[in-house]
Amino acid sequence: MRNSLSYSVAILLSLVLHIALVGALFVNWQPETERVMMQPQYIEAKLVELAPKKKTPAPKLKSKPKAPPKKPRVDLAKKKREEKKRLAKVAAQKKAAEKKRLEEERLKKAEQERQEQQRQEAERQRKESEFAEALAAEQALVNAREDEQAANSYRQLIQQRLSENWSRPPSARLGMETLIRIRLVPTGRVVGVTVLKSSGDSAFDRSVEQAALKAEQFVELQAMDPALFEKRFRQVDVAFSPEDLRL
Amino acid sequence: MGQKIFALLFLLLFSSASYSELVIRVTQGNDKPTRIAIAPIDQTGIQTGEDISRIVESDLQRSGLFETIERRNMLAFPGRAQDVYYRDWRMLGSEYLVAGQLRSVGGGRYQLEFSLLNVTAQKTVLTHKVSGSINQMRDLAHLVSDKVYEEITGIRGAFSTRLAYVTAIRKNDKYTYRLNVADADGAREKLVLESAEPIMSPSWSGNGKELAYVSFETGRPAIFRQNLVTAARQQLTNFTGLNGAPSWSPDGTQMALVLSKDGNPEIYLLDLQSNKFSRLTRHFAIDTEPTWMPDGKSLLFTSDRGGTPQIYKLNIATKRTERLTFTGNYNARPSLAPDGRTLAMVHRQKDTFHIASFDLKTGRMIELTQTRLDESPTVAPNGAMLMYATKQGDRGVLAAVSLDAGVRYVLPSSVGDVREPAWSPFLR
Repeated sequence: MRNSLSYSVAILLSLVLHIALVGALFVNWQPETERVMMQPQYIEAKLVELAPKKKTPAPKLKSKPKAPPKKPRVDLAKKKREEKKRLAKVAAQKKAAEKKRLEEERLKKAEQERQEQQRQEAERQRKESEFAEALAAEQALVNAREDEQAANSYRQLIQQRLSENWSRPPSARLGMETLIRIRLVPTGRVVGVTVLKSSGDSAFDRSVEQAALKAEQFVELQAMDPALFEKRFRQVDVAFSPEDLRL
Repeated sequence: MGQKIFALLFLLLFSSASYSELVIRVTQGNDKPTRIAIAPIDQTGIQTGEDISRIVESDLQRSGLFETIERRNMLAFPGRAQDVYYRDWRMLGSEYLVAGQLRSVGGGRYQLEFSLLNVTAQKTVLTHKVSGSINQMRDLAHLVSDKVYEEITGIRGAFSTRLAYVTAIRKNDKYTYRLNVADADGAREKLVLESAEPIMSPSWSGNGKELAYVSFETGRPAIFRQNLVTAARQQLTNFTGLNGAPSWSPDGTQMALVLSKDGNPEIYLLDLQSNKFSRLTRHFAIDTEPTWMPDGKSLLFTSDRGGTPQIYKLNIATKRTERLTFTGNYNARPSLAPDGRTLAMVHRQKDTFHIASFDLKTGRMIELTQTRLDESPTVAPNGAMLMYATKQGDRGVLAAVSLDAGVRYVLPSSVGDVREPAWSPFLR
């Protein structure tokens, strides 16, 4: 049921695609020859359009308004002389206070700036590590996919080699299945074969064992990443079930 | 974000763990004959007149399922399993090896102890002893073939079975007819009956000790049975008209045959204990060539009641008939394989007669032979091969073809025209 449904969707899709393709062939071939003839006109039109466009990027410069902070200076020149001294004293006091205040302010600002910097640094570090983490995860994903692809190609190779070496006895029938475990060493050599699930027909089982033993060595496995070999290919389980027999 | 990554990683790890349990599936094979070496049997000091290993070799080769290693390439002739160096045989590309020793055990008896060794797996598969007199060396060889064949193919070997057939020799415008029995490989032909009148339709009893046949020696066709050991004969029918196509029931108590005493050919059943006949078919068309289903409850026969000869099935208890073949306008002479499913028959295609196999379950028909006048198919008791009569030049010969049409051979024949083969049941 599910299969036929998914197939129907696929068939519909392919049908639509085919129709679209054929349609495109019929509809679009002729206008293209026309377009070739019209081309000079288009080029002229485009040139006109391009001229003003070229001008616009030129003045594209951003002017940044800069406001350099300047400290206001107290002007004492227009005051009376008598008061000059007192005022000078007050001014001195004031100046001292002002200086102190400014100094405090400066310190405070510096402290704030330092904190801000620290915060930014922390933020940057956090982002960096997050990025590294994501990168690592992606790398792991890529590695796993590559592993899987490599494993699949090796599995296909093993399957093909076993298929070539499998000579079924005449007692073999559709529906028979023998499951074996092949033990391999990193040179690709078959060092052991055990029947995990018998088909019930001893001649059939033996033909399966013979297929694995006759394969003898999968030399190509030597090129495999050792970790992958350990993980997937030290033991390989293979199910033999004929699908190309008459009976 | 971080949690998602962890979940993903976990999933990946988990799924990779389950991948290693994924099973590679092999669904296609590359069926080739098994390469086997039959080392010459060690028979020091015994003159047998037969080369046992050669007989085993040709037996296995004829089956089409084996390819033998040439003797001149062998590096050693081991007689016992413990003397075998597997490397020697592996180098020759041999998958199996048979080695054996023939020893005298006194009283004119000889014992052949042989081993079947799996060269690929480097182990002994079986060791077996057979014994016989000096005249039974061919029997011993066929027994070795049977054992080896069964072990490797999963099918019981039929090399120890026999064939019955009729030869016709023309001399000075007069024919001599002979009913012979020979080994399944055509060797050791033995005369059963010689007559100046035609002999037809040999049929084996279920135990392989008797033959039934049609002989015209009385001036008209009559059915006889004859014991192959004692040569005792008995005439079973003497009706006017046609008396033909005897077929022994699997349990040996009854015989199906064709009589036309009541007008036209009909199928009858003869109870061999009471000698009573009972009529099974009642039709104005011709009904002939009955053959038993393995369960002994129904018969297959040829009838032209539908306009052309076709094969029908008859339930003996209910007398109900059912048409089985619909492909082509001529299907006759059914011979059933022991699986009760594969039917061999004569099938006409564009005016030439071939042997075809017909799957009773799927209705699939496969033409097995390409020659022109093929007739009288008879299936071996193991269902692997069938024998039929054909023409080679203008001479009638027997040929065999495997039921998957993969292998065929012509039996080396004696003088004259050979026809009407009948393959015996298993004899032991």
